[in-house]
Amino acid sequence: MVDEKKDDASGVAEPNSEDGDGEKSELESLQAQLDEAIAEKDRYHRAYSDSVDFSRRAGERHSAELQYATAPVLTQLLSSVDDLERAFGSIPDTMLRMTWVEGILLIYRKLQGTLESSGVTEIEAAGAAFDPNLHEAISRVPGPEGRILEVLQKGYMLHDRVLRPALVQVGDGSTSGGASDGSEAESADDQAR
Amino acid sequence: MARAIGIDLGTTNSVVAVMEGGEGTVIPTPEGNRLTPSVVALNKNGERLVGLVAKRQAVTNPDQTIFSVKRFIGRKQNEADVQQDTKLVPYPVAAAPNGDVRVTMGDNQYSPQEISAMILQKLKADAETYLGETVTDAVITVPAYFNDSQRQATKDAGTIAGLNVLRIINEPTASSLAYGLDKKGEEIIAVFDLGGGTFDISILEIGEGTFHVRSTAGDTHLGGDDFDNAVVDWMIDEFLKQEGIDLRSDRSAMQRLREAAERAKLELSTVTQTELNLPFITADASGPKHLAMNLTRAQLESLTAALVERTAGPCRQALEDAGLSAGQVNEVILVGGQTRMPAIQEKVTQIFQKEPNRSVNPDEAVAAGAAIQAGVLTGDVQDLLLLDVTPLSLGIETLGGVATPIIPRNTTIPTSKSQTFSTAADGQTSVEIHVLQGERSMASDDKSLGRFMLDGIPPSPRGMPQIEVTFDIDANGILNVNAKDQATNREQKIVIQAGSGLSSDEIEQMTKDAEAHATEDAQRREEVEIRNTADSAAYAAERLLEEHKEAITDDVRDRVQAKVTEVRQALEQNAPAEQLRTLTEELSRLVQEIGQSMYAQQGADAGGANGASGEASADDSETVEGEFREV
Repeated sequence: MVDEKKDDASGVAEPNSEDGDGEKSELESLQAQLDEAIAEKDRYHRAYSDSVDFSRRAGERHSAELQYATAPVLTQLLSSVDDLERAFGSIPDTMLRMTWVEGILLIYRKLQGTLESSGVTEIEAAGAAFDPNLHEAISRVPGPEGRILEVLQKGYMLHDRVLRPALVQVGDGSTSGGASDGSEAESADDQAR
Repeated sequence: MARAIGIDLGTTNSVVAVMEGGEGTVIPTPEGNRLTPSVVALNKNGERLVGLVAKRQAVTNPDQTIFSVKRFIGRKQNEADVQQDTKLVPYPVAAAPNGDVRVTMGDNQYSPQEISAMILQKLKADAETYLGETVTDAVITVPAYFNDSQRQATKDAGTIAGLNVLRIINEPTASSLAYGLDKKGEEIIAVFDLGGGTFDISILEIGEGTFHVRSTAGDTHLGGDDFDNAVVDWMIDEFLKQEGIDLRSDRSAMQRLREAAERAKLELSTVTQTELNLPFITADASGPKHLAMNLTRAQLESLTAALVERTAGPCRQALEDAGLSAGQVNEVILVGGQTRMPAIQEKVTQIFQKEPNRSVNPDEAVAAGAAIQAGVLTGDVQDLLLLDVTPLSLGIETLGGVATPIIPRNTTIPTSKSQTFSTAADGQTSVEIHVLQGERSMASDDKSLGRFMLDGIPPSPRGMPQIEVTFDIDANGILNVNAKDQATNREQKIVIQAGSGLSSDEIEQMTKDAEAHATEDAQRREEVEIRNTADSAAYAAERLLEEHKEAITDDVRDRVQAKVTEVRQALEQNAPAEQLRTLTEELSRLVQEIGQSMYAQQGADAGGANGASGEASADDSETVEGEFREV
């Protein structure tokens, strides 16, 4: 070591700047690596906790959603329930008393029972105040403002969610006297009933 | 940690998504819907309604129910398109002093930004309900053809809604992110977006993680609704022919027809024919009438051929504007529900001369991509975003030339998995670790990634040494395979670089092959296992005979030995698996007789003296009976 200093000395002993720089940059480099490692550890912890949180919430959501898992199938069944109701809605009187027809009625009641026990309930619509949370307006017709005048398709709830909104005709506040020729839609609807 | 959401703010419907588990996941509304209609209304009581609720009352409140406001955002009222679209909406559209569009709800005028902000507010609230925390940051998507004014207005809408809009990104870019295309390097991508009401085709160029829109084209009035209408028209015409009644004037019948038409259209994407069944659709003097018609996929395609053809023009235009030929497009992705139709996919294949990528849910791709971008911009998921998966299983070759997987395919990386193996022969002092990539059951059908030897294993009976083999893949995709002998702690390893395995085409082929040969492979694997079991059984039986030769009667020994010879011969002659299995079972039963014989012998020796049997049982505890070690 003494030799090195002697070599450098040409009057003034200069500080061995290279070594100093080397130490300094090594220290900086280590510090940077340490900082990065700490940041990395933090990222890892966050990612891990996100993952745990995700698992938990996925599980919760799964249980909550399970009760609505039947919704698509039930909705399709409702379409057939509609058809049966249409059928009974236009059944000739003479047939009503037939035992065979009674049988079909019983089947229909059974189907209703299945829906009920699955948590399906009918949405009140006829004559009620229109509520877009439960009903969907298909047309406006003369009648008391905001009142449901006709239900074109029944609505149903599954537990506390709307499974299918009721499709309705809503009064527009005008009197039917003033618009007795009415909308074509209305008369066609009468025909269809 | 505050979550950032991605929002697809659509003309008709909007979707909100969030990054979850590394993917963009759609957030449902509290009512369970994955779409929110882009509709805002003011009802008679002065209450503001947004979304599905607003849509349901639209008919009763046409002047104050605002929809399709996206057509007006960032535009001047006197623009030609705006004038055209104004005719299509029942609500009044006016001009502000500076020429911007204004709509009226109740006593107030609103800018399209303010209306969009109401929709965004609902999406924000639904996201907060779902996530259980406040949401502030968002990425919102816009069509690629939106100009600066439209983009700024969309961003303003976000700000008005209380969101910190991290970025406005293009819808085709968002879809590309959802498809993971940003990880693929330089590519030309065509985004074919056919939704409910509009068609957009975009040509994008991806390079070094940035997206550049080369061209866009489309048809602002072509969508799934038009396809539904084609079916409805056909149903009406057919019914008119059959029954002489025009259902067009019957509102409730039309409602049923539309629903049935949409359902039929959806079904015909997966089956080739469907029945349209609408009992009691109407009635006349002679009684009730039913609609029952068969619609085949071929008929549907014929009814909608003109609509499908209308997608071709804009595609060719977009290619021309981008200065590219169809062959130069590397990948086509599908967005929008209508792209599920086979005829559309065929058209796309025809135009771009390659099959489209449809691996992502087309209804949700844009929102999912926006969520991914949101996740990246909030930084905390930046590293995780690059989570890859191993496309194929990684494992080693084991006795009989079988490929034994250690890391199954589609495992996210980084990951580390270990399994313990042993030797196949007595006195074996080294094992060869042959690293494989693939899904086949036999090593010879998989890709060989490398081999190395671990030696210095203390000579022992086969099956005794414990060699732990660890497969470790780091975040860069580099595979380290390490084999360690538990007895001596001697280790050896090999490092396999990322990408040294099969190319993506080869991977696809390998996966297809594995599926095609699945039964065959399963059989071969089983056969090898039966052989190995037979071999082990013979070996174990012989060892038993050797260890306890004094305690076993000659008769038992001879019979067991004969069976062992039979098994060995069968193995040498490559007897069929069934035969080997039977012989192994027979051997197994015979070997049990060794035990029986030994107990019987012991009983005879003890002669009823308790002390002696006590000794004998102490002896017994040292013997190891009937142990089979499977390799």
